[in-house]
Amino acid sequence: MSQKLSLKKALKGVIFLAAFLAMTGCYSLKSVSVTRIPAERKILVIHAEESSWTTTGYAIADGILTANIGAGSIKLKKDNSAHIYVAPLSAVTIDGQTLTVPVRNIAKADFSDLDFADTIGFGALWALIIMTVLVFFS
Amino acid sequence: MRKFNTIQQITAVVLSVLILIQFSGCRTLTGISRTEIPYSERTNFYIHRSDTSFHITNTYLADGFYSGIVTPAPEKPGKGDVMHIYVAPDSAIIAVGNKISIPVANVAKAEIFKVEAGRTITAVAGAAAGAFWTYIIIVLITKGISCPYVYSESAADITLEGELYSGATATPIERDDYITLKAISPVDNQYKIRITNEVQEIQNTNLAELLVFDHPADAEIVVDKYGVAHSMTDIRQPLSATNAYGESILAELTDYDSKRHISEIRDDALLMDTISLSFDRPANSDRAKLVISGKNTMWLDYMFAQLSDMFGNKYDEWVKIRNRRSREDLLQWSLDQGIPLAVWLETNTGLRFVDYYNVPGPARDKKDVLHFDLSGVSGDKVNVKLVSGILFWELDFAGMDFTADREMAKSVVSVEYAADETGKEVTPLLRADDDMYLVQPLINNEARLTFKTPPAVPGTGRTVVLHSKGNYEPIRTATGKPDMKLLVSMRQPGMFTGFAKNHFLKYYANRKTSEKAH
Repeated sequence: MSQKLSLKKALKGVIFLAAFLAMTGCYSLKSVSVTRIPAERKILVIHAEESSWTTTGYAIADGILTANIGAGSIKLKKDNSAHIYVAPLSAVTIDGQTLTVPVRNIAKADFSDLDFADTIGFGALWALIIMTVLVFFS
Repeated sequence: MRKFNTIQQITAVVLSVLILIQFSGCRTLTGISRTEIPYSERTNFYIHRSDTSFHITNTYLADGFYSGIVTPAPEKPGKGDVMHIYVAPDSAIIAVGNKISIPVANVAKAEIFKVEAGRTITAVAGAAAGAFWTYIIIVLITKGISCPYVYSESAADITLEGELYSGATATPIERDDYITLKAISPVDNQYKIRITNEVQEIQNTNLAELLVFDHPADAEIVVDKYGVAHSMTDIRQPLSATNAYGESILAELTDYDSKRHISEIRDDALLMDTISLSFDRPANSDRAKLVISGKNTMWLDYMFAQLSDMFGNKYDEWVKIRNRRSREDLLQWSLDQGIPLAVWLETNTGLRFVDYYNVPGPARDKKDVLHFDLSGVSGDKVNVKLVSGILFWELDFAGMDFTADREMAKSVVSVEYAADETGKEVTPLLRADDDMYLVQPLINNEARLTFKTPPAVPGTGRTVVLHSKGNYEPIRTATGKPDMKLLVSMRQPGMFTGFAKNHFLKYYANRKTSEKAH
């Protein structure tokens, strides 16, 4: 009976941690062209040399990317943001709260995407590890 | 305790190997600042522009420019050697011949693969955990149906000695068992052993006592299945030893070593493995002690489990029926299927069945002896045949001793104290052959037993033997309807043996077909 109870406890722990991991998830970096950043990525973080700006409401027209500096009430998260990398720094123009940068000066655009295979794989690995530790040292 | 140490050792080894294998680790892309680029110790640089990329080597930094030679990209560069450099605008890249230069100011991002500690540790620990569970599953599968394990203690170690009352899978065939505790030595003037359940069985131990023999130092003592101790002082190796197909297996049976005899299996009608042994017979010898060392195969365990599972949802009923059958019936069935190792003696009037060795189980080799008279045997040779079902036994040694048993002192030592894994005393359950049993129904049930050490007799050698008695019931979880026609046929002699052989041939044939297909 006591063994069954211990097993139940162990399984509860494993399930809780696996669920936690599944929610947290494993992310991998996806590179795309700047015009293909998914629409749900509301925040655009613009990097140039050692500087960066968090922006929202970005749009591209006539080869120029325009964005509003500041994230407003949106909290920056991996799943709602994308990053662009600009060179040289002088290509970034700031006018009040508006930032502009020529698209040709954007060398890279990427965002973190949930990697289901990794998330499930690592979640399962952790569940296995935890279960092993519980069995091993109980 | 001992088994966890073993598992820990295995896990540690696996972990160490995996750490070596994983030396390069799980790598993910990480951005680095431009000032770190010259110090990155990378050899393969990929320069990315909007529509293409170049692989460059021999890079250097001078006058605010990164420069390098365009070379063909290697097929599979090591991730640890690679750096990606993203440049904008495209026009910033200056190409002269196969040389490329990029102003540092136009490098928008540089990325390298870095070992991600979390992932690496997870992967390694996960792999180790996987190995651990694989080991456990293999152990559980291969142990299948076994019997209680006995461990002996010494000041330095705890050693698995073997299994108790193997094959006593029903109450009518509860039996005495005698196992030599080769690694035992007194701890605090006590002999200590452990009896554990490590498989899905209900194990019922009726009696556990030590037989302590003080004997001439040059003699080896082996207790036969009847509880009679025999001294061995001149074990002779066989002159010849052949398998069922007449092939010599002398090398396999002449020493206690890694060379062993396991049945040869052919696609023919043969169901029994017959080992023919011939020994030189000393003049005037009228009795012989046939000594073997070996164990059962995991295959026998596995096939008995298969048979049990064929009863499906009627398994419990089958267990009850077996428990109501007579001891003689059950033993005869076992012999008819070649489960014990039968001994036949060549006499003047033909082969004579002598006796059989009880199954020792698959965990450890057991040295066993049968003592028989040689009446009806003339000539200077003794020829015997060892017969068992194909693939049911594996033998390491066979020899014959014709010497008379020597004088020895025997002490029977009752258990002084025994407690189960919860600390509850179970001593009275093990002291006598009665109707009180130590019942171990769960995996990891463990009883620790202590015995007073009898005073040693100076100038003698000592052999400690555990005498136990009990039975066990394998627990199976098979479902579905039983194939009664097939199961009823299993009552016929050799049917189980044939079933096991056919199963092996079917599996083997399938594997060969599959290998060919690949």
